Amino acid sequence: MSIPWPPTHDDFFLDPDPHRPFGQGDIFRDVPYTKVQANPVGKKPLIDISTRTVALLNYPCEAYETGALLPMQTVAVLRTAADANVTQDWFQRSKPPGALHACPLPELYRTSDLHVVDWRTANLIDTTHLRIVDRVASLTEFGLAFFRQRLAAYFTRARFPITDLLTSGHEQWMEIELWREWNARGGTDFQRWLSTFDPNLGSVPRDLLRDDSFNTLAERMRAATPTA
Amino acid sequence: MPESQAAAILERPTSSVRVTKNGNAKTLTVPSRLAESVGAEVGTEYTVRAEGRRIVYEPLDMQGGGHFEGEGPDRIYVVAAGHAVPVGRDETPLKPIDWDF
Repeated sequence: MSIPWPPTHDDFFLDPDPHRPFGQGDIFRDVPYTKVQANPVGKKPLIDISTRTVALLNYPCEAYETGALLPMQTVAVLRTAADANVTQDWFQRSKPPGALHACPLPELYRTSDLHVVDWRTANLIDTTHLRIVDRVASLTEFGLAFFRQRLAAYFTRARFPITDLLTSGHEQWMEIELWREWNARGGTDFQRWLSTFDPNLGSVPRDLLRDDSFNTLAERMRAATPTA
Repeated sequence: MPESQAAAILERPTSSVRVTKNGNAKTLTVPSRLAESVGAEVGTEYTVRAEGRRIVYEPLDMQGGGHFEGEGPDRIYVVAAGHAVPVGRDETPLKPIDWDF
């Protein structure tokens, strides 16, 4: 995969799709976000609830359990680059890395305005506050690898090559793509189908993801779903 | 730079460069036109290895290599030794976050 630098909106983001499952890096607007700030001793904490745009941090295995969203998710707040003190040159990848507290988002709203995910704001929210209709964007496969590279750098101060993150995330990516098409074709309970032994395959369909037999798996999926 | 022009520069060898004795083996000096053709800028990191008598420089960000371990939700990707590198000092002046964010 070769992405010209800096990436454009379309290199990084997918338009919102109601059939697409929740994925790491999904951007949601109008999400209630809580701050609980300590008050002087003996007084109740200062609680502030405001509506923010956030990015989902959970890896799918922590966002879902057997296909059902878990009741709580971890998110981080989107801020303007100026508010988060991130300047334009964070996109110059070949330079020493900087602004490790944030992930830059290229042209999120298809304007020249700069936005970032500020990792320092990571917080727990009720999943019901992440509504599909409020999803602004999902990430491309490259965008997901970059997002995870920045997330790892913030928490570990280690940089993983983008190629490793593309490799390690490919199976997840293909699964989400199939799940999306399954939903669009009117299918239900994709995860159960993926994990149920198929005598014609001699394995569970999920094994074809691992074997990189994606086209075969896609054919099986389409045969198992009504035409949308 | 037009692609054909960049490709022409890549195919045409530069004039010869000379190995010098230097106790600091942490830097690489290349002709600027060559660097420009591959998108290398000051600070771009490369690893270096020998292939026979050739010396090969590869951008750090293009390298990968690892393997999967485990099953199900505990399945992880183990990065090959040396491929995860320290990020180093954050050169962006950091403004601490406060409760007004």
